[in-house]
Amino acid sequence: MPRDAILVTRILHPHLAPLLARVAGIVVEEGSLLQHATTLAREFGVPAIVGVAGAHTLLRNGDEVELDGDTGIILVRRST
Amino acid sequence: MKPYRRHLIGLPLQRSVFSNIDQAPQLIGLEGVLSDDRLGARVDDVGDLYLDPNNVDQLATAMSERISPRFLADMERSLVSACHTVGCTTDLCRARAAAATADEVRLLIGTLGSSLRTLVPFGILSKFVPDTLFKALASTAETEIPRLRYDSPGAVLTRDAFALYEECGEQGFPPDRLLAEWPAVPPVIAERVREFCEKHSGFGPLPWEAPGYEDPAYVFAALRAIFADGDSAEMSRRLGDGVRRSGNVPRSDGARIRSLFEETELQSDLDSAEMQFPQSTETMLRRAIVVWLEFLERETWYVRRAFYAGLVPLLRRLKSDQGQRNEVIAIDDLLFFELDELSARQVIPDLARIRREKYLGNSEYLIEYGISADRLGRILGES
Repeated sequence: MPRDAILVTRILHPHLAPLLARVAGIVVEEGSLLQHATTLAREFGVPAIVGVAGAHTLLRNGDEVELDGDTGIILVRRST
Repeated sequence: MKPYRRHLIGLPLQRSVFSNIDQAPQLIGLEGVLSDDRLGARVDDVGDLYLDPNNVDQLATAMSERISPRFLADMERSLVSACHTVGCTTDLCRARAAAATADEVRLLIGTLGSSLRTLVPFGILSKFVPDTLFKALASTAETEIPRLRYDSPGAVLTRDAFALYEECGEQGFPPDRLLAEWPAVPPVIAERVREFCEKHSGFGPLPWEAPGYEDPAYVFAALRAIFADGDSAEMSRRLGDGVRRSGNVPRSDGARIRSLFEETELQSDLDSAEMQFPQSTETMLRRAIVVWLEFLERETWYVRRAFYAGLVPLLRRLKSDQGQRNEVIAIDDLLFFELDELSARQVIPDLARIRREKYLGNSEYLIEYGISADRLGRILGES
């Protein structure tokens, strides 16, 4: 995974926590507000947006993505 | 009904610890909500989890109506007790395995299985309980999610992994070299790696046989993927900043993985006479959320650690006994029996063969979790 990438995942398990040391943000499909991803993201100071149904298909490898963890807005500049 | 989770678990031995998940509501005082008090939850014979969303909604609604300091205290006591029992039983199995007779081994397998069957339903409950608690808290105008009392196990794992990466690198063993040369590395490196794997055994995917941090090859691959092209100074700063930002309680005893059952303060609170509920529902809600958040960080760890630290030594001992009696069974055949079958001596070689064929036919599952053909034998091979 490239450094400072945005990690898009269905669910973030605790054993994947070390990935947060190199990502710039995470987008999680799982809808629960209280889950591993939110705990870890808060602890690592990484912006996270959860409950993004279909994120796996909406976002593609290589897309330039900007996250706002406060508003929950995801901006995508699509790679061609 | 569509599966709630596909490919959750594959081995019959692990599936058998999911046999009580339909009884989850009773564990937290939600009797009388569902017909027959049975949650529509099961793991089928290919390891897919089914969970009735209507049942979950019914339970969440009933729970929000029943929340009171006593309800929350009872729920917390039940959860902490289940964690405590699995942890203690795992340690007992590990301590006794080498010297146990075959009958003692079977008894221990049954005891460990029973403790896991009580713990696993809490994982199902975690699909709705924490959010229900938070909604109740939010209704009191509190919107901030309460913080963990300590660094999360994931943060401890990350810092320890980075320290291992740096220490091995300083001695000329970056991840690529470790992958290429392990186990033929200097004793000091081997000892350091084994110490790391021992400490973090339990971190990994839910399926027992999927590689995780108990496996040096997995660790080396993880170190390479996460740290190898990074800027060490930047990484170090980021990990340090993360902890400061978290606002968690600073640790004076060195980072280690805490278990819920280690929280003696929590336990003694619950056992004390003070729990005649002078505390408000809001205070108890905040506390309950923290306990469930901490459980979320450890639920898989408990289940995997019970396998690697507790069950694997017992299975090796059991096979050793069977070998002496010339029974025709491979050690990894034992993974294709249910816990009750192992503890009741119902070990029929043909049954293992049929189940193994079905398991190996689930190639999607094996690929998803990176389970190689020799993985099962390696897990149970003598260390």
